[in-house]
Amino acid sequence: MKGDRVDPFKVDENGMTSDGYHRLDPVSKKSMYIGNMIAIAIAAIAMAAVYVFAPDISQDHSEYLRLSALALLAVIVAYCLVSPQITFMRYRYRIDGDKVDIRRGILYITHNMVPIERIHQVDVSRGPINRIFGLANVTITTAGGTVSIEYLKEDVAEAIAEKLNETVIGILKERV
Amino acid sequence: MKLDPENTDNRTFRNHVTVIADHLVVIAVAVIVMWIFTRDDMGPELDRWFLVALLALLLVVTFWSFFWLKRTTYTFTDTEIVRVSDTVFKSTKNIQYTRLASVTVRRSVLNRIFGTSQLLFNINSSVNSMNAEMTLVLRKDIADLLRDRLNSLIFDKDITVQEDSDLQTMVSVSNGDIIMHAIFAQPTYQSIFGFLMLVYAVVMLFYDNSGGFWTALLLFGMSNVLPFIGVILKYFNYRIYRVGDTITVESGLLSTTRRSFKVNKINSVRVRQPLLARMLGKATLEAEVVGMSDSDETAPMICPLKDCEVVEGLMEDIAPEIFFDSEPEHQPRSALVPMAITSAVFSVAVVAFFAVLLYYAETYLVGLSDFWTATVRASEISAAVLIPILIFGRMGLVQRHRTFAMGKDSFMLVYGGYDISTEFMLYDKVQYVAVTSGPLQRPFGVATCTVNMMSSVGFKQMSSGLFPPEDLERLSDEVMARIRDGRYDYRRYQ
Repeated sequence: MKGDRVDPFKVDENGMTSDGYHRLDPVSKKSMYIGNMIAIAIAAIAMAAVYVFAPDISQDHSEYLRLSALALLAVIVAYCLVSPQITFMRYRYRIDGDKVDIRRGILYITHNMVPIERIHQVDVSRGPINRIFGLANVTITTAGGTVSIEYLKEDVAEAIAEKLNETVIGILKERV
Repeated sequence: MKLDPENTDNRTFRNHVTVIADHLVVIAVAVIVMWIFTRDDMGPELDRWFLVALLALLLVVTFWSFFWLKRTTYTFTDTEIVRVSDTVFKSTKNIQYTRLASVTVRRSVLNRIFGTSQLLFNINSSVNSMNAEMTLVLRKDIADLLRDRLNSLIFDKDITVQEDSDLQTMVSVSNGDIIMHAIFAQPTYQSIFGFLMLVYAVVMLFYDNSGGFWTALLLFGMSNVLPFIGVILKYFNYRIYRVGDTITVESGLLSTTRRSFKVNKINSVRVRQPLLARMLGKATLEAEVVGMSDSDETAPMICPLKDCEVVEGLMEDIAPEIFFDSEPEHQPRSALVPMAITSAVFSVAVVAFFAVLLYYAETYLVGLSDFWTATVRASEISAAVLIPILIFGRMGLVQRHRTFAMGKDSFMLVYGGYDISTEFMLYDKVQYVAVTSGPLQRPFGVATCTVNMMSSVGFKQMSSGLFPPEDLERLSDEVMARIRDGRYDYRRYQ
């Protein structure tokens, strides 16, 4: 039966998985890596501060503090190096005629299901790192909170926002 | 624009002039508190300047409040409320009656002194749920007259304020019940903490340790006495009644509050049973309706602590379409493994913490008598044993109580360990659903479901226990199916 197994992350020529989901563009990994590098740099500066000032904090426990800081930094670095690849592999989204469906997560895998009928607002945002790679996030606001689809190619993000806005406006027009 | 209470055609109102006094009291109290805390640094010369500055500030606030009051009007048309404010900026705000989630009438102590009432209009929005969208202060007789009109305009109630006051309450709640509610409806952790602090305060008193006594007493007061007084002040003289589709909840000791909302604006209802209340066979009923919450961010209460049958009966009366009776799905046995691992990790952390405390005990027990040293050590060992027992005990209760059921129009989630909550919610009120499985849950084929909804304090997440993900995803499927096949009709909730 092993030969019959379908790879859930394999995409066809249209960029779709076998169960009808889109996956992210590979360039999204670069944006994630750069974001993570910045996080590592900040964590390293914080840990360096602990290293420098630890003797002043407590003579008795400075070695424990240093070791803990080092262990924490190692965990953060490992997570930052591994997470973009796992995120990319697991991140899938699908927009039907009436539902936005997003599956994502590294340790905790979440499946978000948002009825388009409940959407109040759709925003497209581009952070400085995402802009370098031509990426954008789509934030979907409902009365019960927000859900976002991240690291999309700018044209894809704009198309999704336009489609969702059109559908929402269509629903509202039907009600008038 | 004459504001004449006798003129029933008059539909335009301004705030009562006493709102200026409200503003002045707030400013004066803030400034005087500031002065008290800084006066040591000021000489007599500065004191004089302070008084001049205070008077100037009060004059400015008076002038501005009067200007704002005169230039702001509220008009109640057949379909909406229009507030026009023409001060430095000109603004017009319209609220259609169909968008209103609830209307609250509040009478604070100042309102009682001035003979006024506050009318608070809340719309069905998660953004403005904690603050009323519009507030209007009127003389009480004018407010009552306006309420009569609003009853028919907003709630289709052809009933006067006087008739409203004479209506029979749906459930008989005495002030004795409210005292019981104040004692037994508090969360269990809060009751235990308060009890421990009280015991500690008594012990400290016995050993003539005034610092420890006052600290423990303060913590007991904050955790138990203040919430107790708060409940008494808020829920004394409790009454709930229904006219047509409109529910009105009325209560208050010093300041009274009357909240009205349409049944179709209820987002969910929750039967809450803290451990002590459950042991007495009692429960409380709460409902999530936007605008029904107060500044204390507690969920709006529909029924204080009463017998479970009374609470269930009231729930069926108020929201029969939400309540259903069915055989719920219990959390599967496989969920015990991830819960046991989590409980074990927490227990090890607790034991390790107390072991470290014991190890370093000699550093902080220096100078204490043998009796005190033994007492502290015994307390640490007892905590290291008792807390893991409580953690695993909670796990057992969670496994026993957590259930999930899907009805025709609504679904039910039961959650909690020592304190149990049973929440019913209409599929049509679900905003979106997320099913999440963690690294400990995936190997055992279970996940949790988070339902996002609008609530009285903005938006709220309601989480299920651990169930197979395909069972939980049926919830979202049902929400979608109702939208697709037209069972969801937005007009029912307007």
